[in-house]
Amino acid sequence: MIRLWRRNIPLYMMFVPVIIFFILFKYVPMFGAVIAFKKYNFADGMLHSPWVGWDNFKLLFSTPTTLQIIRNTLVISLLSIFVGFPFPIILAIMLNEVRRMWFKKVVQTLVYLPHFFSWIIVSGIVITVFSQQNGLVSGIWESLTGSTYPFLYREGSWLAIFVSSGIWKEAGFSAIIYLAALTSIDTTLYEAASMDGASRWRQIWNVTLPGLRLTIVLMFILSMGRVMEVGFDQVYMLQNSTVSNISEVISTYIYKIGLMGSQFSLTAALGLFESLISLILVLIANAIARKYGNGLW
Amino acid sequence: MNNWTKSTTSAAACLLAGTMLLAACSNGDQEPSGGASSEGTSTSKPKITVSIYDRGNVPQEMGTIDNNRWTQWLNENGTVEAQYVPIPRGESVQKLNLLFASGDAPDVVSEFATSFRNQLYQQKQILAIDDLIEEHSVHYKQLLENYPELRKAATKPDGSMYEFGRVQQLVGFQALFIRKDWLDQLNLEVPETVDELFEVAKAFAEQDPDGNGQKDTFGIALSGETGAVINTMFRDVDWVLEDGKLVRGWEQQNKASAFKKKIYDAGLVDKDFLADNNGQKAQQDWNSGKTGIFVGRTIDPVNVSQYYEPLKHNVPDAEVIAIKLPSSEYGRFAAGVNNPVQMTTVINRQAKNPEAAMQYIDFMASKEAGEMLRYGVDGSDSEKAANGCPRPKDAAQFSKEVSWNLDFQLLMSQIELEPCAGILSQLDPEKPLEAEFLELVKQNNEANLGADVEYASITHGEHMPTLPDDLSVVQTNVSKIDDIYNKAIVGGTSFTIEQAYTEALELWNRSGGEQLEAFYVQWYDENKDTAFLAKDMWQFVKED
Amino acid sequence: MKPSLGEKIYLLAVYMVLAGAGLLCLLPLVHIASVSSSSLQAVASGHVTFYPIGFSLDAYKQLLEGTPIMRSFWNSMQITVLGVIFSMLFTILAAYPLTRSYFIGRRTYTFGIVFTMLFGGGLIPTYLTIRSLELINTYWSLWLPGLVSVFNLLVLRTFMENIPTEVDEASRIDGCGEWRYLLRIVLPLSTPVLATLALFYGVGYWNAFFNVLMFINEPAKFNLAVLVQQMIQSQTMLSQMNAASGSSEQIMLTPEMVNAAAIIIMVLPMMAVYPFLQRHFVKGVMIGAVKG
Repeated sequence: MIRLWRRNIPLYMMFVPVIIFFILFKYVPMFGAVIAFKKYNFADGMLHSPWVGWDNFKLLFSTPTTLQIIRNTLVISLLSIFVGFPFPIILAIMLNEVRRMWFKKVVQTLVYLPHFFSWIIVSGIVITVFSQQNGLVSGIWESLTGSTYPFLYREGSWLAIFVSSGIWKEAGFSAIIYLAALTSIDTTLYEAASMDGASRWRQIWNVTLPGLRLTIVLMFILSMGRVMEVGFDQVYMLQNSTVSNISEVISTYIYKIGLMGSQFSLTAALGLFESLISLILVLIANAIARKYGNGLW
Repeated sequence: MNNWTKSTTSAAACLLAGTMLLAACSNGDQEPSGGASSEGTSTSKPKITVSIYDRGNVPQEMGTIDNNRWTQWLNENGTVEAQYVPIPRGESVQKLNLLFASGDAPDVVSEFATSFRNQLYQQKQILAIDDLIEEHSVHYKQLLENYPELRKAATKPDGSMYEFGRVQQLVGFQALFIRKDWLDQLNLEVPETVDELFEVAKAFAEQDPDGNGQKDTFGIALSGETGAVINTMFRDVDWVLEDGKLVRGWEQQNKASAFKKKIYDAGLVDKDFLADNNGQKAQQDWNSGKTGIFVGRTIDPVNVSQYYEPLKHNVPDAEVIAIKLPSSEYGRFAAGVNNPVQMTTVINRQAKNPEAAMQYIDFMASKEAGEMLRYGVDGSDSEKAANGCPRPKDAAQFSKEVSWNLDFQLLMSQIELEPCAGILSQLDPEKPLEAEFLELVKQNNEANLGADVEYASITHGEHMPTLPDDLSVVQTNVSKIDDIYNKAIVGGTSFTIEQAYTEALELWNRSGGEQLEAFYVQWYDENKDTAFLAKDMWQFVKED
Repeated sequence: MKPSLGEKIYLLAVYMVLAGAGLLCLLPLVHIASVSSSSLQAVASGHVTFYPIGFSLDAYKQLLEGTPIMRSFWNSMQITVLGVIFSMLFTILAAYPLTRSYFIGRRTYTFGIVFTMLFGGGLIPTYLTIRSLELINTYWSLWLPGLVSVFNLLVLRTFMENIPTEVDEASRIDGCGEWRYLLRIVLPLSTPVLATLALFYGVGYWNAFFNVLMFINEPAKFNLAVLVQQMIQSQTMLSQMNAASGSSEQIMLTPEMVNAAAIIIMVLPMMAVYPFLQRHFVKGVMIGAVKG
């Protein structure tokens, strides 16, 4: 028993500053979320603003569009997460197969750059490419099928464009983690596999993917925690009237309300709701992962 | 075991040393972030803090927005010493919120967003200024006497004034441009009614007015400000007066949308106008000479390079005129005018020296300060032009040293500097492009300010009342109605305007639209004699 | 082992797909670069595609000349380098104990940390906390709130756990203490992930924009991202907002070319930095660890 405590001393020496950090800069500000239950105003500050209980939440959920907005947020982000999930992995594995270093480095650099482009300009590009008048894609489509298709104005195709553009922008950057993970796979395993006569494809299936398993599970659980975070910029820049039924999400809704005046308490209430949903999803994902022995905690 | 203790202690020592090193490296100049003023003992002038927008456009050799030639001049020549607190323009409301929340907000705060200033009023963060003006100001008091509308606009529901503002002449702001050369080419007259507008746009789209043998022209733009102006033609401005009562203008919205649908179905516009969120594509098409009718602006010299110069560069023979809005069954309206009485500034309740703050504001509103900020030093920054008005002596030097100080002019009433302050005197008739644009400005003023057009809305957007919290949620929800109508515009036969109307009405009712209506109706009833309305705006029409 | 025909085709497919992906990312970059170096008329008429029309570097001049570029570049360097050092330090100190199964409270701490990733107080409470420590307008206000990213922390922990247990046992037999084990064995074996996280933190600090505007009051302390983006990002959103409310505030909407030039300026350092990272992605870092 004493040995256990003894062993923990250096660990705690390392960890104590970390605990202080989290308490001071994460947990203390978290109390500010209490304004979700108050009617916050500057004069009274956070502590003394009048308590309104669930009123803010009632106001948010009373409107008919609220459910639609929440549904949109979930649909768009879950779709983006699930569809987009394999791409960084595939990208990393493919890059791993490449022997010519210069090619690998060039492609790696190129695919990770879109992460740094702002949606302001990327949306301009996407809209131009898919525009009905003389967009690149429309031109190709027209020559293949003989008529124009309103890509950006039909909910299905808009969603596809939205998700794809998000993948294009982030896959390269997200692949970096997998690339790092790939380097820690024991190369002797590959040698053994190829000596057993396994093709390259088999090797990927039997060596690479299992080697990446921990990383994949981690990334999956973490992305569950981000489900409510549909990026404001991307939606705001790409949306238009015809798809408003599916494109209005929590972040754009809050922005629009905010335009009328700083709605602190409402924003806080919605934020609290988002956090709760994220927590539930993370708990579920973690429970599933634990079943297979790979939970986060 | 000994090993273990040794390594632990050495690690601890390293960590401690490291932390001390890092603390020493810190960029720590703990300066108070513009808190309430303190009585300065170094100079005899009282000190206050003032917010100033930071747009990131101050040239390096001029200093920073809080310390430059102009701040120095203002502090030397005013009766008060101001410490300027930069507020990033794009995130100004958020930054100001942080400052107010932490009690660090400056004594004098300027912010364009009416809703933000209203919020400050509702949360009792600002001072009533009637007495301050009466007892501690000279110039501003005079302004109030000359322009009683200023008092009207500054008065809040409790009867006192809370905001300071600036007064400008009423001028045309948005302009309906049309390609005269195309009209001539196709032997058409300037459209006077919306039906004629349709015919002209049709001709523009179908009869190849640019003579290049291809049907690649747009009759009219539909996105951006052009779309908004088409709404204005039908008085589709959300709230209209009927028999002296304020109601929601459904009919007008239906008619405006029907017209838009008509021109869309006839193929006269860019099929992708809905995706053009900020009107940029429409502007590009106008500039490359593809569109025949387009709404631009004529309020600032920069408009020349936005709407005119590129067009002339691409199509040197293009001829542009600014016309009156075609009339509809609801009347004939003005496109867009500026806000002649714009409120900008408030005094923080926490200000330690409100009298000093008032003196500062008074100085900023004076003609002396206004002329200096706008024109610079006579002789070195500007010189008198032929018409007696100051003009930049050297355009490059002027833009380097003077033209970025606009945010210091938020209290300057341009109307006092007339006739020299408006765009008409700022453009140089010696340059052909600017001379032509000058013509456009004049045409547009005539089109918007004439006696035969009226302002479509009951008042300028910046003077509409701010909604309380629960109603602003309703407002956000019902703003979806625009999307419904847009869908009908592009919906062809499968989604008609009538269907859109039914759906919109249903959304309106479901979301509590009648509460919104009740609010505005009551506001209008109670305030129609005291509020700042369209007729007050027209007091400021330019005298020619 | 001679590659079979199937394998050759497979490799060819891989190269082609990757080339396609690279091209898909290169073309927009070329477009943005072209817009940034074209003339106002060409851009205002929407004519520019993949090469500059009316070549001019005016947009870059507008952004760089007459702006305190050197000073803000130096500020960015300070913020980024020190920020990465602090963050990496704390992230390592946080991750390592969490990998030790005998660490008391391990599961609680992990959950507590993940919790902070999901729940937060928001901007105002964080601002008030920093202010109560009197760190507003110092770079600490940028380093402290983001000192440890839970995401990065968990990634590091996962990688550390990947170290084969034989290595751990071997070190224990050798009488290696926790610190020594961490410094001499775990960290060297984790260079790929450490380099990755350094990149992630670096990118975050380098591009910090909103936080700088909110927490730093003196323009002299602004970083490159603010210098370059302030004109653009803010103005674009602002003009849309103003168009919606009918405001007559004159926004000098920065021409699209300057917008594009700003992106290029911010992206170039990212392109330069990546090769340094790739150097650390050396395969087989683990072999020999067990045997040796």
